[in-house]
Amino acid sequence: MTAAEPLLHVQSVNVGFHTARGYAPVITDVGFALHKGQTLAIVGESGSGKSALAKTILQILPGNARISPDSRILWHGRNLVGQKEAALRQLRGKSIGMVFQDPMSSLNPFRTIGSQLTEGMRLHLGIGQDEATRRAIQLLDDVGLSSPAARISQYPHELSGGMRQRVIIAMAIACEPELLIADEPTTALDVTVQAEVLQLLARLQRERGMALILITHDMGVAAHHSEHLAVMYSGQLVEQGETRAVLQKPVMPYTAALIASIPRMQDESHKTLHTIAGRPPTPHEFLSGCRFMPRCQQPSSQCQQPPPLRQSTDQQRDYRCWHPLEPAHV
Amino acid sequence: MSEPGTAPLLEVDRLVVSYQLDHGVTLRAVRGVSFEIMEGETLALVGESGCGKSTTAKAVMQLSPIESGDVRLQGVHLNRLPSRTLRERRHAFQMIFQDPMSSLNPRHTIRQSLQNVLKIARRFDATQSPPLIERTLSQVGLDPAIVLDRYPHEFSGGQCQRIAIARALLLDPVLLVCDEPVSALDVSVRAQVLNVLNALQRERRLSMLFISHDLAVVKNVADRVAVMYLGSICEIGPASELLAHPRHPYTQALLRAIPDIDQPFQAPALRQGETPSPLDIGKGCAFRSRCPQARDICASVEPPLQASSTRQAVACHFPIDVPSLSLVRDAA
Repeated sequence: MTAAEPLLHVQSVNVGFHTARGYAPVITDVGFALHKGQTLAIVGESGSGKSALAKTILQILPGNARISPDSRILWHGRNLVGQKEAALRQLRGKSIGMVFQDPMSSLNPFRTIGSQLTEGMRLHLGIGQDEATRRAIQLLDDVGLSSPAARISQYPHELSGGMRQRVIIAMAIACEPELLIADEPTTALDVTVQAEVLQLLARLQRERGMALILITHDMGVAAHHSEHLAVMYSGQLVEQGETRAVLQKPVMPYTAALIASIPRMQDESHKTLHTIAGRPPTPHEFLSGCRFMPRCQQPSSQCQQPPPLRQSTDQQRDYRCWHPLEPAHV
Repeated sequence: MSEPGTAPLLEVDRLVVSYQLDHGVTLRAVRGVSFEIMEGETLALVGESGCGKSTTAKAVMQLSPIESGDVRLQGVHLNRLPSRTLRERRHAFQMIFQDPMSSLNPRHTIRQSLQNVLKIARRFDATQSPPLIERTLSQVGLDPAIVLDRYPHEFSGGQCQRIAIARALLLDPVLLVCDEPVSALDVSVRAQVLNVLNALQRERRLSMLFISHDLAVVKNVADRVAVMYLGSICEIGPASELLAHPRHPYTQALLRAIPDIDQPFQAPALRQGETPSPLDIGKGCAFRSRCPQARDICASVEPPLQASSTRQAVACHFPIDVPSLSLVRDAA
């Protein structure tokens, strides 16, 4: 951790959705800090709230969502919660870029690659069409597309999935954002293309000092492409710390169980894998105490109480558990 | 690890599957694929999207149009059977799919869904059905008393996939074709399904054709692996050998590309070339445009699938050398 002010400082953020079945608390007391150029991976299973967290930072949640007013999302020290829409719009796509999972639905099928790429630059950077087109060609070259000048006049359906995701990334970085939020950016892609896209993101970070929030369900992707790791379960960050350290010595039982249930190349064939009983709860089923308790192998009566957010003695690890695993046991 | 039998249970012989597109264009999705699966053996078919692995699985199930070649199950040519006879044999080969939610009727209880299978197959009378259903659910690790009168939406994806497996097992198949059965599942429930599949292979000596793009999953369930690229098998062999010592450059690139949490990141050694269109692969090796070691001959002569050891075969003019240690082990 550097002493400098974080680029993004998220503090006690609570978000809920009003649904037909009542109020669903999808994000509870989430906090983390991200510095310039850093990569934070947020891992979790479907429904854990990781995508909702990304949308909360950008405040592009659906209309039935409510961010609690005492939540703080500090961007360069300025709280984004409660900001006017016009001010937020200045930020989105300019200072903070975003990449979503499905490359086809993020592009307009009726418009050329060039017109979609130049739109943001003309809007945010105030440059003319010719200059924007020149930069668009350079961007397509930067993200590794062959014959970029010809791609400008092509439509999304003329490109493969991997090429489309590169175009989306080009759009997201067009205005040179300080932070890129990538929500499962490679999940729809083949592994060889995934590796290329993740390498591309790493190169762009190096060249531009861009920070990255990488949201993924894949522990391997997080292991290879992040310095910090936050594990999300049932709307809470249950453990965060340096990626390698968390993977090697998880402290929260959920993190440990999740890592143990992954099939690994180094294991022998037909190995019986560790399983986690049951399934993750829906927001309507969240317990007032520890939300992982029903699936935990070592719950106690204390787990009926909400576990406080704690920090390891070396201050390198935050976790939410009454009975953290001793490193010797992991 | 269970010992596979000696007689091939499934033989796929020079299988070609084509689709007629508009304007008289023919897309050859599977271009002469051959493999065998022994009794009690799991063969994984791996490759990237569009390589023809799902089409091959559907052709085995007699669900895609076979242009030429044969699919023999226990010696019977499935693709030459009249449809009525084929229907009577279908109990012997069953399939499970990627999305377990959409393969169960949301308006039927699990009991109704499972009973319908037996009713349609007309192989069991009313007294046999309930105990069979309960026994099969127990075998996939589900409690019949809790499961039977519920609806699919009340279960997790992993539980639904286990119900789908139970449904496939009701008719006592000898072959289970699994098309990406754990790809849509979360990590914490994926392990449950993989453990069930491994137990079935062990306890029922079930043979499986397992389609997946995830090599770590394949390592866990498969005895042998066939790697497909643009409609052909480029390498096939025992899982332990092939995954540890790939001979084909494409297999090696795939292995390097998987994000393995126990290994540092390695960039896959691939050229920046585009994958050729499946409509126009041209002559020569289909992989040459992305292959780091392609030479002149690769553009003119398509490499045949040739034995590289007693149990491994590779389709490459310049296969990667393996450490001599494994050759010694092969010869033994």
